[in-house]
Amino acid sequence: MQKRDAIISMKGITKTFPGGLKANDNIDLDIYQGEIHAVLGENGAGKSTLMNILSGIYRADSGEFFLNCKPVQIKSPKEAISHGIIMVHQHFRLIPPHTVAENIVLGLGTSFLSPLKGIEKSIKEFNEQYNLSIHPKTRICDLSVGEQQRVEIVKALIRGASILILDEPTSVLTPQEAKELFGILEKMKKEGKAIIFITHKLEEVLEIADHITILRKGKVTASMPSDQIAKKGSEAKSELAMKMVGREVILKVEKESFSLGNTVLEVDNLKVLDDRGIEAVKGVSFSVNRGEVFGIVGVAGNGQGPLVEAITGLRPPSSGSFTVKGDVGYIPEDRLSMGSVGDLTLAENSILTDYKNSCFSRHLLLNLSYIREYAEILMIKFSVVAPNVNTRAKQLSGGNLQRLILARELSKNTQLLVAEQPTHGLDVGSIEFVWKFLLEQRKNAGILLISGDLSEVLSLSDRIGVMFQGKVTIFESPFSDKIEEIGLKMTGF
Amino acid sequence: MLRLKIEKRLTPTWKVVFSVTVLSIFLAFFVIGFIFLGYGINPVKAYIEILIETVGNFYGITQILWQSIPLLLCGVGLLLAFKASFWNIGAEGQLLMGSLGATWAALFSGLPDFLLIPMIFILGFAGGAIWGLVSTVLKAKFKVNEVITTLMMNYIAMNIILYLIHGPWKGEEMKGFAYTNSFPQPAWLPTLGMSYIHWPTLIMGLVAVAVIYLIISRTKLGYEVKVIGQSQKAAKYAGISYFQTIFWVMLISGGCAGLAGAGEVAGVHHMLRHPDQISLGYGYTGIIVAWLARGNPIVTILTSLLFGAIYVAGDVMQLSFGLPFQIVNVFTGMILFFLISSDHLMRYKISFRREE
Repeated sequence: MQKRDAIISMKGITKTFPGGLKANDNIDLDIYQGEIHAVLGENGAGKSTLMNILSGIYRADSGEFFLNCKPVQIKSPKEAISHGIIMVHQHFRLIPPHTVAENIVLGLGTSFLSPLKGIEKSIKEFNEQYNLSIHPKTRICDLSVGEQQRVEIVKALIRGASILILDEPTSVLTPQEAKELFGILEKMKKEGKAIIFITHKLEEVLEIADHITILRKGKVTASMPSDQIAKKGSEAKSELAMKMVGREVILKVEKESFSLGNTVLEVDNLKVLDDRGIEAVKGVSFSVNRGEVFGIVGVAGNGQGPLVEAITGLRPPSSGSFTVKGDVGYIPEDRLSMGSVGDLTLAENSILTDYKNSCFSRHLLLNLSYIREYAEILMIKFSVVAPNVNTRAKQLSGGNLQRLILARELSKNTQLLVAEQPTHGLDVGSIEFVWKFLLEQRKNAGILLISGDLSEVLSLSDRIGVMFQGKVTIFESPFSDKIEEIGLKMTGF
Repeated sequence: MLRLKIEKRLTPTWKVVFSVTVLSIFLAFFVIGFIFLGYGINPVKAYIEILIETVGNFYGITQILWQSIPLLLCGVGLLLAFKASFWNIGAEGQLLMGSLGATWAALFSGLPDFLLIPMIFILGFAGGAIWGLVSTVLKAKFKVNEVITTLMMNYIAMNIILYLIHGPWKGEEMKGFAYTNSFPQPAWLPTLGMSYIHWPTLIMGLVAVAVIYLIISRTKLGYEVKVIGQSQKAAKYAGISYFQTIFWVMLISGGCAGLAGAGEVAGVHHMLRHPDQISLGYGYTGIIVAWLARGNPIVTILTSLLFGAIYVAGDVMQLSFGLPFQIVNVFTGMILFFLISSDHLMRYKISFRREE
């Protein structure tokens, strides 16, 4: 069979963000007409960055694009649209109080006279063609999320999309809506459109994609037609899962074992709602004892956030219960705007969660000289590199900032420490440092580690809970022969 | 090829802040120069005349000091609120309610003479504080945007005073004018020499600066204010109660504006009269005074003097050139416009790079 030419191909795309994170590392990708191409990867694998580059929102540091084998430049979303490349973002770009037609017209730059009439006609045409049933005069805020997504798709079609990028399109949909979406995509595929489908859900990829590319840590780890996988069966699936979350070896971490102490956290059938009022934690039970690391691993967005917020007292649970022994030390995932305050000094940051303690403040006043001394001691003990304690937190590198937060939370002598993505985005040296201190802390406390990084959880944990869609499955050590099972559980099998 | 590159600055140094600020004020003066031209006045001559009449003689300087008293009190109070990212636009109304409290103390409290002045300040503070706290409760308990409530509360305060001076508090001695009776002599604030400077209020202003400086730098409340102002997420994480903190912030912020109002009625007018005469927009100008001070309460002393001088300059423009009083608003508006624009410029630097 003669090899077809790709409608768009990307060669050697590399993008490094300020701060040194290499989001895309020399990525090649070929997209063909009439094909649904799934780009699969964990959060932070670089999928969204790659698609933002393709749709002109980001500029790549290096790399080339070929549209129908001719080199092209994509410098802005406008240029991308002129090439027929249109992205439907995970968070829709619609104006809620305006109607469907008004939203679609926006930015079209058509004639001086109101273009609404013409647009209403084309919406009707697309409605019939793809069986969409959206009414042009309905206001966006009266539509369901699934319907809003269809509006985005029609918007893309009217702008002349030949390559449609969908960023995590099913993450906001009910299973029924997802099925309908797949139907629409199948039709578009038959019309000869190329569809790029970004997701971290393996199941749905196998259901709909013609070709699968897996990204991990900014690199392509696999790219193959999906029928190859379907033929090979379940073994291929686990292969795919491992390519996505990484075939993890348990890293050699100096890890003496401590005898288990009393229970410091007992969670019983806990249910928690997220901001939208949807049940994000669906009845979770586990316990953490002093002397152990209990690691919760999962792809982001499976309920870890609301679970942590409930345990740390930031969000009331909707039902179930949990008991915590004493205070909770908490290392939040968002170290820049939650774990620290950028415009405050290191001294001020070093007491953030403990400023009411009588050694830092008496009556109304702060004990400034003691706070400075205390911060100096913390900085030496945890090797925080900074000119002095009056340095502002925002001037610190990620690793140094995390050391400061770690120093603060570990020095509080709490019996339970919740560490949420404690090494996310850090350099290797800082990661080892954080790990060492977390493991040491087992002497005094029980540690609840929440991480999306399977190798981290495997290396540090004494027990593991895999979180998927609000539920936790617990695995006991040793893990060496359960790695594949854990990886599959993370992706929903 | 020479290419222009715009880079972000993390923390602008104080030199940058100072020079950009001064430059933007000069730019504002430059643009205002065209307004003078429009009136057929030579802007250079006008500025020289204004300089002589304001900072160029003793009388001018006392006038500036006198005008800067309410600006200092409003500005430093607002600075505390802004530090907590609570956008209090309502110093004007808080000032008016302070003047209302002070008037009640002076005319209707029936206190012995020696208690009148202390009570004027206490009720002035309370009037402003209560007015500020209404918006606080609405924000903390019902999440109503404070910009809107504090602003709207200004109009409510204004109309309450209009009602009082036309109705129940209208003075008999005033023969049809909408004023209250004059305050009894013991309720008049003493002034410095022959000037209008009612020094007790000036001292209140300086004390407020000192207290707010200490609160911000040395107290638990100040720490909570700074954390809330920077990141509400971090505040929640640190276990800081938003309502409690903002309660104290607005008590002080509104109270300071209230003191300014008390000073105006007891030190200048000696009666309650039309709101436009009690406050020449001090509560609004206070926003710029606080903004310009960039978070440092001590600097509000300088910035309030600057705007005091602009007010006096406005008087000069009316008297010497026959310009309408509203031109002062154009003045302050222009300066605010340039300052707010400059705030963004400070965060970036422009460099030229040679590129092949």
